[in-house]
Amino acid sequence: MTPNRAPGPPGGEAAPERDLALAAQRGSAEAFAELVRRHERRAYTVARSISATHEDAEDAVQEGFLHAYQALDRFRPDQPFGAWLGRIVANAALDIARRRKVRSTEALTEHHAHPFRDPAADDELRRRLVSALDTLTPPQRSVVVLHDVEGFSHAEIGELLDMPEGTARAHLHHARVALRKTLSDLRGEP
Amino acid sequence: MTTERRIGPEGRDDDLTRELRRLYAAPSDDAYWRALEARILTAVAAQRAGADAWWQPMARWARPGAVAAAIVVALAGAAIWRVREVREEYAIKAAMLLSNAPAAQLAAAAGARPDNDAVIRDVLTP
Repeated sequence: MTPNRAPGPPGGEAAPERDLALAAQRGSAEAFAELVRRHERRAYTVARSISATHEDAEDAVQEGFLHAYQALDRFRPDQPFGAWLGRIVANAALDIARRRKVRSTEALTEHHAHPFRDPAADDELRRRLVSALDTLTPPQRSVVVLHDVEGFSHAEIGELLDMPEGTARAHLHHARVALRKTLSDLRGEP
Repeated sequence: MTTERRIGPEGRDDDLTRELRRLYAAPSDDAYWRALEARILTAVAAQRAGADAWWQPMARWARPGAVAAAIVVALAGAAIWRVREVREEYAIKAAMLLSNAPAAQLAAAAGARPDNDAVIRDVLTP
């Protein structure tokens, strides 16, 4: 169990991540807060690539950080904290996705069609894209989002999603083909 | 609507990628991230408080538990000591009995079944 002591983070904002992780392992709430600040956006990116909705991605980020906090004593400071956290968040997102599996396709489409940022939801390309994304398998969707949207390498994706690099490449290829096929008539392609 | 297909590096479709990025864009508002951070840290604090709450009743019972355990150990030690004493008493009594007993009683006291010769000698002895 993580100790309850609360010394401050070593060196604050500029502290190396390893020192922050070590301080968090010793029970520093401030050090863990700094790790949250540094990694929450990337964690969201990972979670969003797996989750069907923004809300599920948020929940996965929160669960991921909670699991990471519980497992801090098992974290080896010689490895990158972000990569370790990414795997935990990805697993949390997959768990949530499994729990949500019973949700209707209609509801999923509704969530995709109303992303929290862009008001231009009735754009034809976007609507087609949302439909096309729903035809992909979850790993295909995750891989294409992580690679094409977020710029993760195949190796990083393989590590995050616990699959061989070659499998990540194959998922990316199939996802792109499926998306292009769905959108081809929009472009007047044969 | 017709769009021209543009394939970027590594086979990436530019239109698709742009639209995917719009669809999956993370919030850019710092206030959103501060709120998410606060939500995460609140959940962590609640979990820690819950863990402490689980342990606290156990901690309250730690001292009485230690006293009770010490009493049990002391009682067990006393019982073992008493059993040894009783065994020794019986052993002494048995030895005393052996020194005076006839052969059959000797055999009985020794816990062995007396043999027939010893019984006959015992009967015939005046």
